[in-house]
Amino acid sequence: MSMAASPSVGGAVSPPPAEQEIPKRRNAEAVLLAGAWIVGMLAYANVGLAGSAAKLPANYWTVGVLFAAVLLVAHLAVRWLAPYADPLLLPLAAMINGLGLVLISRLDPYNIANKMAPKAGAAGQQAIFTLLGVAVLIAVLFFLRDHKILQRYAYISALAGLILIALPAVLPASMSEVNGARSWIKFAGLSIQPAEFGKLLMVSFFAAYLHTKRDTLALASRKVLGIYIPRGRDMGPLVVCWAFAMLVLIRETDLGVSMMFFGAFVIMLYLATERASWLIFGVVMFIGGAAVVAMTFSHVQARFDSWLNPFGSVTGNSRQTAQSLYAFANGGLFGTGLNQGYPTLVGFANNADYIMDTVGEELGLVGLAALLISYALFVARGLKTALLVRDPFGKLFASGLAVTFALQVFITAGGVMRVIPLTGLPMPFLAAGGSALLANWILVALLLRISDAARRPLPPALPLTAPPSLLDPRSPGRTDDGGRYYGQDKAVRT
Amino acid sequence: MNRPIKKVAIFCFALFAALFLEGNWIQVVKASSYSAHADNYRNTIYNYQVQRGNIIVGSTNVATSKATSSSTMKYQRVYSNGSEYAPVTGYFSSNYGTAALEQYENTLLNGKDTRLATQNFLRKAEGKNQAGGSVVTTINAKAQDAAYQALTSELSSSGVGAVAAINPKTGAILTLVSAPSYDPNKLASSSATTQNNYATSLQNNSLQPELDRALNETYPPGSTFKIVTSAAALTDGIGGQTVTPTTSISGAPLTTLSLPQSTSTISNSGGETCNSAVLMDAFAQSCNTVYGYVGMKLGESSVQSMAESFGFNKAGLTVPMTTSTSVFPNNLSQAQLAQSSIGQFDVTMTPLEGAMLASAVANGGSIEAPYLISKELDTSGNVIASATPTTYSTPISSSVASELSTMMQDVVTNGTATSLQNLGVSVAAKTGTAERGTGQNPVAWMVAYAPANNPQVAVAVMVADNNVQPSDAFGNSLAGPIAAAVIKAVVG
Repeated sequence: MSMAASPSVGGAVSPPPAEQEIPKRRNAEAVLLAGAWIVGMLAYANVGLAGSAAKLPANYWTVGVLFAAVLLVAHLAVRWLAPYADPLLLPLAAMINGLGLVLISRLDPYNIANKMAPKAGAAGQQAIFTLLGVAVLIAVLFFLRDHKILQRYAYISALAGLILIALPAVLPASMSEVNGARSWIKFAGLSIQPAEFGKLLMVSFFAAYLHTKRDTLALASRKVLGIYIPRGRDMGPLVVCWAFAMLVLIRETDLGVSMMFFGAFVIMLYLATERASWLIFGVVMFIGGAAVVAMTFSHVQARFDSWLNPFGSVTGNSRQTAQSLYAFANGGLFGTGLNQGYPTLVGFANNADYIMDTVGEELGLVGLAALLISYALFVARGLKTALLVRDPFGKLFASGLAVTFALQVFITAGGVMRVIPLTGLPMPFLAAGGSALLANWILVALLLRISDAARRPLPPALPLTAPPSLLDPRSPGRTDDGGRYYGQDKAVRT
Repeated sequence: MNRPIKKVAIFCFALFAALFLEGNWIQVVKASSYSAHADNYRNTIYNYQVQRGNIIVGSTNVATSKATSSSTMKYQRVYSNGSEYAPVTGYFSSNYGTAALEQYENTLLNGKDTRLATQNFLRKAEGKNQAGGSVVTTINAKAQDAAYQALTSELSSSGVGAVAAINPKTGAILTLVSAPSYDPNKLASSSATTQNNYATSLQNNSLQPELDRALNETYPPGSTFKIVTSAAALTDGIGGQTVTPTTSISGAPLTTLSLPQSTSTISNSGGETCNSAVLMDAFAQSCNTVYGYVGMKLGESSVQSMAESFGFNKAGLTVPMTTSTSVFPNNLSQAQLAQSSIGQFDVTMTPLEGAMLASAVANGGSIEAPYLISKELDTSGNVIASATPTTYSTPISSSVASELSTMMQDVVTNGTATSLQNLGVSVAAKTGTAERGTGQNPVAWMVAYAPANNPQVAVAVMVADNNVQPSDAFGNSLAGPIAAAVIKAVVG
């Protein structure tokens, strides 16, 4: 792609040298999206053929065409709105989302029969939210042309995020409790997991806040025994976040949200300050706090008990942990094949928190590894975006989003696989849950937006005689940070 | 800021690596251990997905798997004549596990046996369900029917009984009956409610129909134990004197045997006085006073070592079901030894052991190890293993065996086992009527083999029924007709 029409200001100026070509990789994205479609369709065919009817699902080609259309629209939207965006993010999200739809529809017959899902099954809802998710993706790309705008709404984001995360804790249990975890808002027949949106807002706030305070936090500290001890007043945000995480843990029975939220904050703090001491403080504070909470509150303790001793009781708290491990064990290396295992034995939340059981049992270690690699690639592309993007807010924001995503995958899969105590987070893109799916598509949109900015060539160097409008940092086409130069783009700027 | 981002990337990589390693741990390293956990319901499901092999009697399947329309429980276990064959087949239940051959031959029946690995690999390649091999039993259907009908029609609602019959020349088990029995179909039902209700009703039944009384319950043998005491006397002699069936035991009382260091005495059935102290006559009349005296004269070690060579106190007999151990007690006083020598005190035996007593005499002194499986078949019905008879023990010499044979035939012709006369074949037998606690009728026994000159069946029948007139509760009257039915079915 050659650069846009070169400015011809003052006829005497010779045109600047042609800029190095930046591949947009949109065709690669299209091919990968086709691959994502094929993976989903083969999996869906497998579910039907392995079922008792032994034929393709009745809506197979309808779903196939619709899924293809959604992917095509998303692809065209990215081509139009974020042409330089990373080519892997969208196909990875689409593939995991598609696979999740297949798994949910595979689990539906059991969940409908046992009244654990809406009468029409959870797959239909998930499909609708996939459509909505892609629509939201396009809307975010359309309305948010520059991620730095979010910087201006830092404190509004913080307030909204805190409210969303804390709301279930203050609502009565009847309005917030699903399967023992108070991390929901149930309202007018809808139930949403507000923490999913809250996490995006909080990451946005952290990025903006740390961007402005990074120097203070990094430099104003004393060195004791080789460790930089931050000043008391700078500890404030850390303490507030820690207290907040503990509140969530105690009130919402939700170690997952609390860990994800606090972990993302500490890592972003480290990114902003480059001081490992923050990491040490954060980890010590969290583990200490969580240990005290676990010893004090029986419902948190129960989670720890079933983690340490999953086979202790056939019927008690540890039943699901044991059943989960049995599912993975039964899958072995290659799995039973889709629709040929018994992941529903885990009971409720088999298509949400425990959806990895189905992956492990029916697709085996091979399928599990492939899925984990897909998640890891997604995180890697997010972090790559953070490396490439020029502005510090973008760096913090992109890496914060990527880290949050990685933590969520680890916390959820790790809980189901007994690496850590089980918590109630949905597996991104895979698990049934409309609000989580929407939030994750917004996350994709944000990363696409930042990566588009990261990979987009800078406008040409400005001649001194440029008209004032081009010097205005807010003028369209200026994607750098008001003319400040961060040294990441030498190859681009000639 | 790029340097810390790279470090965070490494951290994220470590998170995924941890998940991957844990995946290897639980899906490969620990997989088989987790899969073997008792509360892992997948085991049950997989058991119901396999076309389990048949349990065959003659050419009839007494247990077979029928295809169902369910997608998880693909096969339903069906038992024909379930109650009659329950001690042989056992049951295969999703909630209550397995028993008898269903338990002991599980790996063959469910196809996990390594000998079926190739066949099942090919079936998988063809897209067929996994299948199991079949078990052909040694049971003689005619004898089993006869024993079950005779026993169940005779028993009152509070009576229990069992029949074990073996071929003395090979050890092949011909009859294995326990009554009252249960219906394994109900425990194998696809409805958990049916299973649970039936299991509860079995648990609430004081007669414990789920027991296999032929192999796994022991009862006082009473006078049938005189076979062992006689064998010891004929083998070891008494006081250095050789004993033959015609030896008159000097000093043996005929009406009452007073026991040393004890106020109790041994008397004969109905308080009768025995005709003579000749061993053969005392045996035919089942004279307690003579045999109690003989036991004391023989000494504990003689009677005990003879009992043990017949199989008493020897644990671990498998047919393949593990059988209960028949017991001859240790460290006896003279009084206890006298009682033990007539099969009282703490002596107990299984009906199978009773049949083994007869089989030793019938087979010239040696007991062939009892076995229930004659052949194992693969999924297409080809024989993969056949039973080869092995000798379990040789408690007596052939001359003692032939002496005992004469004595046991005399029991039928001149003694207590009148119910075995006129069967068209010569029968050798010993009755037993073992006293139990007050308020309980005795345990009635008949141990027999036939034909006496060319034995084809050795049988033991045990009946314990409280609703019978005590005057009728004798081995000859209660157990005799059932033994006769089995002998007629095998020989006739």
